[in-house]
Amino acid sequence: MKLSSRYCIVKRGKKVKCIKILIVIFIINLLAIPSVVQASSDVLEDQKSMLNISSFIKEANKYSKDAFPDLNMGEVLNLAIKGEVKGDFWKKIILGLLGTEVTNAIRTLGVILVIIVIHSVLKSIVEGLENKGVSQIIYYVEYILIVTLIMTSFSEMIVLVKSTIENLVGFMNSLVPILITLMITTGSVATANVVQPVILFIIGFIGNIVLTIVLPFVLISTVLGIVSNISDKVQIGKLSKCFKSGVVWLLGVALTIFVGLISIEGTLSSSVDGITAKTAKAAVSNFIPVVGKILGDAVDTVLGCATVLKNAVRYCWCFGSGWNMLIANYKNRHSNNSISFNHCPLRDNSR
Amino acid sequence: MEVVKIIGIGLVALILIIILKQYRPEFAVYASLIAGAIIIFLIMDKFSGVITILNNLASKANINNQFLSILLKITGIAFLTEFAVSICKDSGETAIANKIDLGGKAVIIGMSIPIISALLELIVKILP
Repeated sequence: MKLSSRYCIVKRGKKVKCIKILIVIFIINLLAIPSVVQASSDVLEDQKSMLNISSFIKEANKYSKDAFPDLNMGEVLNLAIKGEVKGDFWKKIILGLLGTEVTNAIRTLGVILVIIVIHSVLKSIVEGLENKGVSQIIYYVEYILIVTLIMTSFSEMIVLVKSTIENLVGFMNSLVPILITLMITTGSVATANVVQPVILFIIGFIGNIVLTIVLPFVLISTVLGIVSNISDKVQIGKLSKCFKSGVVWLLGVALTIFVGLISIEGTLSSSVDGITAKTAKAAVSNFIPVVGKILGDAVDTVLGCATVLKNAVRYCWCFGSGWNMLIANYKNRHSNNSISFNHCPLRDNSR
Repeated sequence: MEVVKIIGIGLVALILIIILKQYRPEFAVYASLIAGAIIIFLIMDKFSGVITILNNLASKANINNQFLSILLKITGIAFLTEFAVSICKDSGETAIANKIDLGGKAVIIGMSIPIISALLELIVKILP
């Protein structure tokens, strides 16, 4: 009896202690919940300034400023953090750009149509003549007109592709360090260590391949196509086709290597990272008594904020890269308007 | 109505030439020359209409005027040389006809050289 009553007292004492601790934790939680909500934005701001994201925003704004002066990458980032990304905004801009592209193509097609009409009229006049060289020369002139028309926009396009690739590589290079820092902050240490060199290497590699191998081959294939169409007796159209399919093949291989490397490294290192982060959190909440859980929650909050930030930066990255391509089209549109046939090389000869 | 005029002039010239050939065959060539010249002048009106239409089209499509003018000039030169060559052949002077043909071809090639060099320049410019 004595023993059992003593046990009861001890038990009651333990219960009281437990209730006391529970109350304390409850009060702390009550105090903590609004402060955690408040804290997440503060943490976000802190992390933003700590990770030097403003410099990235500045860099991104530099790329998008030419085409869309009223667009601010910082706002885009904030929207992405809050999860209020508006699809309509992007849709409107992209559809507008595509629409102008289509109208441009239709305009070029119209000019080619006019040239063909002129050609047919002149051909019907010339056909009855004995002098067969005339119709050949008229064909030459029309062919040159059409080729010049297409080539002016084509060479513009090539220049734009070059500058776009350089811009994209620069953009990636400016962003990868920030992304890596964010990855390390969120605990993806292995991913950061493996992915950084791979991404940087692949970006440089593919950019160089496109600039030094793919573009010259495309140009050579175009020139061969032009030359093989001048006369029926010159047969080098097959060579041009060979170059073209080689380029497509090369790009396919590069893309396959890129996707393969990224996915292999990503899956391997992210699973390792997932285990590391979970272990760390479990260690914090289980091995540190009483305050462990709260600390674990705080760690969770910080990690979550960093993840949100990382995803927002990734979103900006994605759209920044797409942006560069859109801007290329935009610039192309503007320069297309300024191109007229007064810039034809013929003018230089007649001088 | 232009067609009636042209046919009339042609038939009148034909009858004149047939009659002239019996008495003074050397004048028959002059008659055919004059008839050909009149017909050409009549056609030129029509051609000017066609050329203005082509010019309008080209200016609407923003095509370089120099290309079009070269095209028209080449066509005109070909026409005129053809006219002269056929007259020469009618009067039995094939040698002179060939010379005129050669001259016309030379002039046309001379005019088209800038076009071909323009194409070459374009190709060289595109090549990396």
